[in-house]
Amino acid sequence: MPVALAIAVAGCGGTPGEDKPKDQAAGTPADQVKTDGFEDLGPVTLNVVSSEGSGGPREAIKTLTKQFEEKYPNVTVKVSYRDFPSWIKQVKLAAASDSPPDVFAGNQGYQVDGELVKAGLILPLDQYAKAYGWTDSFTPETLQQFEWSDDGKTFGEGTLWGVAQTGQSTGVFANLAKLREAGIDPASLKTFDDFDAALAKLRKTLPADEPVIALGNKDQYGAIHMWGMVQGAYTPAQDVRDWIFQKDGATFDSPGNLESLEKIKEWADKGYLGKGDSFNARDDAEAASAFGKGEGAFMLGGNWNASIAKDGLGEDAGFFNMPPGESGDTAAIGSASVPIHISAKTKQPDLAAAYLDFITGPDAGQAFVDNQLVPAVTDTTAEPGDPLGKEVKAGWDQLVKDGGLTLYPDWSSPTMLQTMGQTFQEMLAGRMSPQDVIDRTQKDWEEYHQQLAGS
Amino acid sequence: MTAVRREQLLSYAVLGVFAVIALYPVLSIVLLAMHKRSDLVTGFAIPDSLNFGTFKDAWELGGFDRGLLNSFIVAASVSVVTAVLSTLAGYAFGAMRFRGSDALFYLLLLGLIFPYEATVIPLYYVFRDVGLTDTYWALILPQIGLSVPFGTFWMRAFFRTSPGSLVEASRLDGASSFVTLWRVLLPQAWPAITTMIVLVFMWTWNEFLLALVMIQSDELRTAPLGLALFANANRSQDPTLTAAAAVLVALPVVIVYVFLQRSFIRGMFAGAVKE
Amino acid sequence: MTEVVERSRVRADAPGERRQVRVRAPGEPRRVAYLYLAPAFLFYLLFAFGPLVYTTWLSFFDWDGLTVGEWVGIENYRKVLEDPDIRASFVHSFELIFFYAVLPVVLGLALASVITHGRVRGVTFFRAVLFLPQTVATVVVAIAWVWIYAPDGPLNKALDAVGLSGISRGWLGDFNFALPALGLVGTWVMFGLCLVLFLAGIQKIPYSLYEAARVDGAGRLREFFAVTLPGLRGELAVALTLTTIMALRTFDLIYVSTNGGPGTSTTVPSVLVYQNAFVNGRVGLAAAVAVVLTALIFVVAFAITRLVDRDPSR
Repeated sequence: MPVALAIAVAGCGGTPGEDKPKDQAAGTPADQVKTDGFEDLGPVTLNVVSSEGSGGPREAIKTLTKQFEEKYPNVTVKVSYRDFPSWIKQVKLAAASDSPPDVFAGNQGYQVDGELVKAGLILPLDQYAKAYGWTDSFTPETLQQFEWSDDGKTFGEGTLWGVAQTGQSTGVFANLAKLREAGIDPASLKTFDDFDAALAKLRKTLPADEPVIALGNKDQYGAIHMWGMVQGAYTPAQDVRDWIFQKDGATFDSPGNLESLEKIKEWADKGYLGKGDSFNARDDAEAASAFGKGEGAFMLGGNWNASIAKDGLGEDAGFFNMPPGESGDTAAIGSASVPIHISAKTKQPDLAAAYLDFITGPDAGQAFVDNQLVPAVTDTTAEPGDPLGKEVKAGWDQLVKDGGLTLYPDWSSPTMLQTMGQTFQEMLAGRMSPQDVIDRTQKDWEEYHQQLAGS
Repeated sequence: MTAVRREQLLSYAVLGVFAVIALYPVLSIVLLAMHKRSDLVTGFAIPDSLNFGTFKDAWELGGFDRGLLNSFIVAASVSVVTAVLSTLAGYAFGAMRFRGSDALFYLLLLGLIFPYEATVIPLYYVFRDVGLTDTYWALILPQIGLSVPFGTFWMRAFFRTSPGSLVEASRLDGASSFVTLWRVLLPQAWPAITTMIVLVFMWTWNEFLLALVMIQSDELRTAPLGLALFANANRSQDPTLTAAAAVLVALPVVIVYVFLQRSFIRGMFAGAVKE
Repeated sequence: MTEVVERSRVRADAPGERRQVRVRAPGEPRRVAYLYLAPAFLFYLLFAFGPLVYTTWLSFFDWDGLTVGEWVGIENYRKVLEDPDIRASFVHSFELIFFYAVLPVVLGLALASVITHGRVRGVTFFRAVLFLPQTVATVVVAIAWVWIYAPDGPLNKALDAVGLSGISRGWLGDFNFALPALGLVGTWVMFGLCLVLFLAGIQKIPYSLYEAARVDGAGRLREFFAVTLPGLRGELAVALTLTTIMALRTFDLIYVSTNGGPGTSTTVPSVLVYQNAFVNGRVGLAAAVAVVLTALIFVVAFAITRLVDRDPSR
């Protein structure tokens, strides 16, 4: 009897996903897009999920959302703040549910955005880009990060699917007091080799159990960000980008990558990153928090942690790009912040687009600079008021000028975040060699490359 | 000191050590929660002043009022419905003879040991297809299905040991099986049923994976799920707040346990071993 | 499970006797039993057993959960057997069995003996306290222990205080120690369960058996192996089964504390199932892992009951 039951149930199984028609991305036709007059909608609620769980970015969204609600008193915007690592695991499930949030954050690359586009879960935004002038406010390199072909296979060209709020880059946060104590002048660090030498000097002057660089790699991305700016000293930025966009012939197996991986392994072995592999036991936010409380001389990470540094170290917080390698051009991991999408199932596409424009456009700039963030748009009048904010913006501008934003390596395949996250943890703990990391990473890339070509 | 006395002291000492180990993690969280938010605390530290503000903050900031309510709705529904269904089924298994009873019982027993992970995949995708994800049903219906094996097993054990004479007397008076159940056996079954309700309530309250997969919206989150997300976001900056939230989530079951622990434990294992 | 059936009236049971009597009342249709079973079975089949079957079905497909799936036969199972990371996750599960099942059972047995021999008062109190970890939500347990294991947490502080600071480290970030560290959390949770089970069981062992052993000149240890252990057969089977299943099933603790890391050193099958089914878009593979895990649990549970519960007096 149980067997019969089993067969019966399996029989009505059928191929999974078969009878679900691909969700039609609706949206409003280009000539009917509404950009104002939302007061007449009556009481309406917009559900938003943000992946900025803490710090400056969260404050900025809070401020902007409040301003939006003041502009349209009949609109209630409910924002749910998640932490980024958890959210990118949940976003596809949430988007595919029956009542997804109207507006939510995604992530550039094949793991999230590519899948969202492929499954028809988000609205194309070309008509809104035209109506709101996004093509004027954002650089083509920025918009490229949100462009996909309609089948979600080609990344970096095609229709626009999202916009972002800030420019994120990674660089060196410095505890200026500790540098002074060690007799190091940040302005004198002009090349990567200078920086490397400064690390050695600090290792001698700092107490033995204090790391020179505050790192938290438990959530498996802190080390990658740190490495990215070292990679920038050894590899041309364009090569990195080509590889991320899955261009034919691009490869991860290059001398520059090998040298940069060996370099950070050397840092771990020399104890710059802390005792043993203690950095694998705490996450990025914890490390930032510790740096803000005075641990370590440097933190090599994202500028989204600027407000934590400022709150903790005050005037002793400094920021600069990793000094360049032989090419003389700065390069580091960086891109626009996460794209914000509109759900294909939303009942208020125009209102959602208006909110999107409000929190990303030139007028939002002030909320960003107030929180030591860099606006992604180029036409904002807001200027950072505090020294750290100025340094952060200067870093971003320099990277843009040098063409040195190398985006994020995990964009290159749906499983890359896990592949690189795990291998970096193992390499820094001495369980894997740099060449192994390269081989595993390239293997992941190749498998997906073939999948894209074949299907 | 006599040998007996020495043995007694040794026993107390050993027990004491283990009791401390059992309590320590729980206590450390409670103490952590009672620190002021601005204290930089790590590990076990007695606060210099008892501070209940963090509980209020966690309650408001984490939306735990909703979370606890959701958990309660789900756990209560599941445990009550499971109790009803299990009593009926246990009655049949324990007091009646019918063809296939062994096979059916073994089929049900399988449900005691297979992992939720195996069922959660199709449950999620099927529920999504019929639009039931992100609802109470998504949590209640599966958990009834998954709790019924235990409940039935439990009640069957009880009914098997009910005095046959009572049942028979009722039968020969012409009462139907249902009346027999209702009038004769149920009054005696109360303790067993209550224990089962409490156990199922506890397990359902603490369930995490199902909620993680089924619930995406803020409003319907159960307490443990809300806690996990809250902890991820606040653990490093605000440990006292996270600790307060953790206490809020664990408290209801612990309170129930403390008051009922005698019958809880006694009943739980009397039944399980009574094969 | 045979049952004695008598059709005649039976006198009330004498005290101390256990007679199992089933009476088939005249005219009572058997089919009524099915009616009583129906609601429970409906829920069970629809929401528990049915999905299990469907998971098996899904394991033969390559599906991302969003678009149409593709039949691949036993390809996913091949991956489960060949992929070193997946194999490693099952190994980790078995390692956890030591911590979740073996240790708590041994400790439980030892402590239960100590308690009953030591004639301790306030057993109820101790029992209640030691069982408490079972009632606390796993998420809370995970949070508490993450703090205890933190690089600047109380465990390391204690180690430093007794001069063992060479050992102190970030436990949950260490490739070698993260899994045992989590295993010990499992020991902490499961220990009370075993203890309570064995306490209840020991009380049922007739004192006469102990007396007989003493008369034969048995010491404490002998007594334990000759009288206590055999008498606890049933409880032992239950304890081992429950704890082993918990070890193989564990998800909450790992997800909230290390999420399978560092690297993949604490990844267990249930974590793989979740990651692949809902994050990586490899539902078929996840289903295959789930099926293998379930099969494993069945086999282990069956083996334990067979091995341990060989009660000759049955």
